Amino acid sequence: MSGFIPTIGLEVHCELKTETKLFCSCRNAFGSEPNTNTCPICSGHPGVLPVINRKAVEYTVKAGCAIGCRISRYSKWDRKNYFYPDLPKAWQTSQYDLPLCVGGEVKINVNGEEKTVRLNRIHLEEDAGKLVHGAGTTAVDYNRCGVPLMECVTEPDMHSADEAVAFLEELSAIFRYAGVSDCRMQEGSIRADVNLSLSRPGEPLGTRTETKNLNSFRSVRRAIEAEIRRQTELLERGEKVVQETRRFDDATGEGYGMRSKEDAQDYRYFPEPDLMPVVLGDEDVERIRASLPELASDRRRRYMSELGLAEYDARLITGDPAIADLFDGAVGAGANAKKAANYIMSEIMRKGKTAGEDGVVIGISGVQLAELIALVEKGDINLVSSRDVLDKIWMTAMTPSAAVSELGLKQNNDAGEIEKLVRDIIAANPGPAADFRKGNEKVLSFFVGQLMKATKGKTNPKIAGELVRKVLSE
Amino acid sequence: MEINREIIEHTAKLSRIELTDEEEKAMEKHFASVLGWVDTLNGFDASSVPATAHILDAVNVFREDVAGKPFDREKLLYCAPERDENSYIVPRVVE
Repeated sequence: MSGFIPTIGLEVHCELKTETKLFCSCRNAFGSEPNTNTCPICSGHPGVLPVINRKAVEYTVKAGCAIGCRISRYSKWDRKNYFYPDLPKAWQTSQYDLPLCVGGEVKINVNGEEKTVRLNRIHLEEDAGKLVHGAGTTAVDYNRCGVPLMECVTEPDMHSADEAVAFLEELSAIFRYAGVSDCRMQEGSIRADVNLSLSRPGEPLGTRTETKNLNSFRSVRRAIEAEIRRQTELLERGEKVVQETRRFDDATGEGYGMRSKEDAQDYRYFPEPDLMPVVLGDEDVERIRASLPELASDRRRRYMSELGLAEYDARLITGDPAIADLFDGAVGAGANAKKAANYIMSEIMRKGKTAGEDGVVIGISGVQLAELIALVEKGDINLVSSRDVLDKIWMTAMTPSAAVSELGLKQNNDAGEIEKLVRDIIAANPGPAADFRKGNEKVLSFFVGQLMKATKGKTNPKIAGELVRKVLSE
Repeated sequence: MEINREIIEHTAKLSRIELTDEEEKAMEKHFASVLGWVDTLNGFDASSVPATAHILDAVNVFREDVAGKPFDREKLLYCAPERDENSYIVPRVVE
């Protein structure tokens, strides 16, 4: 035990899912051909003027309302100057001293303990372009340049990698529910910078470092753990932590200091003369606040207190609004909440997981799901064949019972007919039958397996087991 | 605020401009005169004037979130000193 306590603050950047960019009417789209979503404004030509996208401001206010920020009635724009080819104007239009949202908090749960992470602010700014480094030269794609980006700055309220990741997960869930950002790490639509320092209990905070541009929850966790180790080793050797900007290399699992220019932080902010301050009335803010849907934490509470779900299950179901909507739909259509939750967590999440994507694709309605679960409950089909039904009705409007008859999956629940088959199978396998009578219970599953094979899986396994036992015990 | 060579050099570096010795010397004088003017302004009693965040007394107007006609990429890339088929080319940047 080193006796050091890590203190962590995060800066989280989320791209807003607007149709167009922040200051021009170019499309905000991921994956387009390089430089096809650009114009003289977002590629920084002289003499152009920016015009603010109403939706981007509304989404930021909505995000702020979702986490309890104070919404500024008067906010303004500033230029943050830096020279790097991903930013063609040589400044980023951002908000410095009068951001759109101030304060706010997010509740997280780590190892059963609830904690509050306070936010300092959320401001709106433009994203930068993408650099593709080649041999000797760098190619620049400005499609992302000018895409609206929210920067959420926390207070230094986290003390472990677990807490930081829990915060990011909760913040992403809130923004997805609010419908303001997809928060897809794979597409870079959410990225985080980690500020971290170590101190001994009761002593002032130590020197902090900033690790920039972490683009997966896993990298955030690994970068924090690596930085805690590195700072601990320095301090234990009696050396000092240098205040610097760092990067984390996912391949090696190690951080490294950026070749720092001593003036790197000298952004020379000044008021953006091309944009007027944004003035919002109380009625604007209340209209946006009223458009917020029920959020993840509210749903989680409802699932636990009214529907009796365990916290873990409630958390998993509410992790993605599409899944929570499906769950609500199924319960609304009469499904038992726990059975619906179990089926979603095992079958739907497996089926909906698409290779290389963060989210889950839902190809079934709540009504379809409720009926499918009812068919399994009634014993018309078993769990294994319910997967075939799911495949059949996925992304279609077909009812599960129609799929069951089309696939010929209806389970045979006629005990008389099954019993005859059981007798045939036992007669054909005298060896295992004798083993069972000598007390080898394991043989039972052999016979059930044989029966399933003979009926192409259409036998109710519970009835099958009982019958095999009955006939063998005669 | 006293203007010295160090401040001139630092500001030139931030602005990515190279100054000769003579230019730096000239800048020292210019800077001093601009700051002198600011000192004059600071002498003005502004206690009766409300603070403002912008020089103009106007508020923002918004644009609706509707995509416009795509701009011809070729017209933009044409202006670049160096390019390939679909991107701008810059000297390799290392962070």
